[in-house]
Amino acid sequence: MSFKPLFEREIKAVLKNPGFLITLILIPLFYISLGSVMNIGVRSAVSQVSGYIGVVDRDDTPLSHLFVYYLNLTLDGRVSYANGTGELGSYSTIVVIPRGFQEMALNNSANLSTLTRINSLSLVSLGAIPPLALQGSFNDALRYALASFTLGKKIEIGNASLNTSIQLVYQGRVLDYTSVNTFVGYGILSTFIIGIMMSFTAGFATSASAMEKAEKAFELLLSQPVGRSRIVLAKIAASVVAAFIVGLVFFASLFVSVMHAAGFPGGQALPSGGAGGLGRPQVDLGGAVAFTAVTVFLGSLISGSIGVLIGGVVSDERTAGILVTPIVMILFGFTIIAEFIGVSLDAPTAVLSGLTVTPLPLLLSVSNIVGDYSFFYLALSLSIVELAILIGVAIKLYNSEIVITGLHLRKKSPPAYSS
Amino acid sequence: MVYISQSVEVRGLRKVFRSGVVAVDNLSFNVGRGEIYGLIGPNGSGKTTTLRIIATLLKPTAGSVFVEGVDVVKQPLEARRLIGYLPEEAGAYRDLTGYDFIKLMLSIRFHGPELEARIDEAISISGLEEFIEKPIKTYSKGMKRILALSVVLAQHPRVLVLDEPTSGLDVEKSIFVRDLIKKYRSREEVAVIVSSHNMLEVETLCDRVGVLWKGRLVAEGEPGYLKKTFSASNLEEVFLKAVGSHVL
Ligand SMILES: Nc1ncnc2c1ncn2[C@@H]1O[C@H](COP(=O)(O)OP(=O)(O)OP(=O)(O)O)[C@@H](O)[C@H]1O
Ligand SMILES: [Mg+2]
Repeated sequence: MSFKPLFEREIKAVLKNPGFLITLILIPLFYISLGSVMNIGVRSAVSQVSGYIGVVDRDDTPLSHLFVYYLNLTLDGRVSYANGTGELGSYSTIVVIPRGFQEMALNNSANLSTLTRINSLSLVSLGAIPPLALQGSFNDALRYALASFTLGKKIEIGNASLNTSIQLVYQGRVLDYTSVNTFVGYGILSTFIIGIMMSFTAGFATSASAMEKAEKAFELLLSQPVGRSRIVLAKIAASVVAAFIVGLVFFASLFVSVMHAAGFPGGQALPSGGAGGLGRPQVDLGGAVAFTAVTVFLGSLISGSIGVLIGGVVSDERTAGILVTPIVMILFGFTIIAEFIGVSLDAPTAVLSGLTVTPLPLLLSVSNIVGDYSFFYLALSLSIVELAILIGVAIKLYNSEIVITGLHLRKKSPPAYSS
Repeated sequence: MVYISQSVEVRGLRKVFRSGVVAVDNLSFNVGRGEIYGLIGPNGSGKTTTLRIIATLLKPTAGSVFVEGVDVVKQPLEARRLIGYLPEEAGAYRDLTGYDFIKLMLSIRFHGPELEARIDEAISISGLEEFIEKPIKTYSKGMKRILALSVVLAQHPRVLVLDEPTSGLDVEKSIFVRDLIKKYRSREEVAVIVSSHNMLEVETLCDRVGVLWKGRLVAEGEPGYLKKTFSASNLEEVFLKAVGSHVL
């Protein structure tokens, strides 16, 4: 019987909460934009797969001609001759048949290299590059060509296969697929780590600050002769430490589960084993790991400051909890966006990455791949400036009386007797 | 009584909140060393706001407060060193033990052996020896209030600012707290400002009383003087008459 009034009170408390309303507006905005972003990522990946394939035949032997003929048959006529790799603009991928192809093929050690234009360095587009899907067709075409070429002779072609070295062309630079894949995979994993850590920290910092007010020990603390900046820094530092502990447990568990499932997210094995000697294989993961640690720290400090700010402004835990939700959503949103469409080296991306921190490792990976660090440094300095501003604002807030009175979003009704 | 010098000087204090509420309006009063000054007034008359301004938690819209010569607006950190403030609903961190809470709060001002001595002092003031290792969430309201007050007293402040120190306490604990305040006042010669709704308490505890109404001081003086002026037999009547004359 008494359930209804209780329920009504709880519902009203949630509905009247400004944080709840903000979340309500943010969720659709967020997912609609996320949807279109994913769409962009998938569309650019699809355009890579379905394009035409050009062949540069440097061997120009009967076997290479047969190979191209059968490749065209297996690929429904999407294959045509190109004059050189410079014509990549008209094809999604160019297949280069090297000199000596025929001889090597007859010894079952043929090589091919492919060159693919790629618009973004994201997992979606890397996973969708044509050479990965074409490997089967290459092998089929080679077997047909060998069969046709050696007609009448007995030759073992059943498991004839090609070594394909896959190269990507991104922003006019030729890159080795293996190292790109490792870098991007690592960058995406780190981006995810930072997204998680930042959400944890924001949550901890907010609830700790709001709880202190609810426990009514806050005014006693603030009236003590201690600089408010110390109070603020202590709160931020504590939430970063707490987030690291939870993060450690989280990732240890994740690691164990991934090991069980046997698949490092970024480390998809290449169809062919031996592409390591080509392109730019110098994968400096040690530096990347060190940098990820720094970014996780920077990101946690930033989200910790945001949490302390929110906790300082609101006067109850309920509002605090509801207000922190959109922030966590935004952090994760950028993580997901970065994973779908990748990051590119331009000023808007650098600014967004710097402000949200999460895509920084991916930006570093891309900078590493392309060899241009200017946008990464721009983003990194923005993050540091942002952190300084957030801490400054938090200290200012704790030095102001808002931290005592709370920020009233709605107009306070005047006291009953005072009119 | 004549006080040699003023410890707390409140001059033309005014506080307007962002909502437009005028909580304190041109308020002036002094409190001498060794004096206990009582602030009384109806709910919402501006007592807590005044005490929070003195304790540097709120900034006045106009006017000034000096504590032992220190401007609380311009030198808040200096002022906080001199003031011991017990907030209106002072609680404590629920997850801490009484001991840890005392230690945390006192470690802001004291270090080393002095800290240890102050902790012991706070524990003995509180009389909570048996419970001191228990988490605060197991304490009653009165125990939490006394715990917070013990911390404030063990800091040996020059000025004590106590917002309804006995609210919610039973008779025995109220007397205990009043005795603590009196003992501390006479031992340390400090100025004490205390707000209260308990007129009996104000009459027995305070040397001088200020009656607030809508943020303004509508009467001030020693309890005996006030009773005479308003031809009342006790402070409760004084309160009703002082406030009532303004409601008309
Ligand atoms: N944070 C705030 N924002 C806006 N108005 C406030 C705020 N705090 C207090 N007020 C208003 O200021 C006035 C004085 O409040 P205050 O808390 O100082 O009264 P009080 O005398 O301590 O009352 P009580 O006896 O109930 O404790 C009231 O009208 C109150 O509504
Ligand atoms: Mg009050």
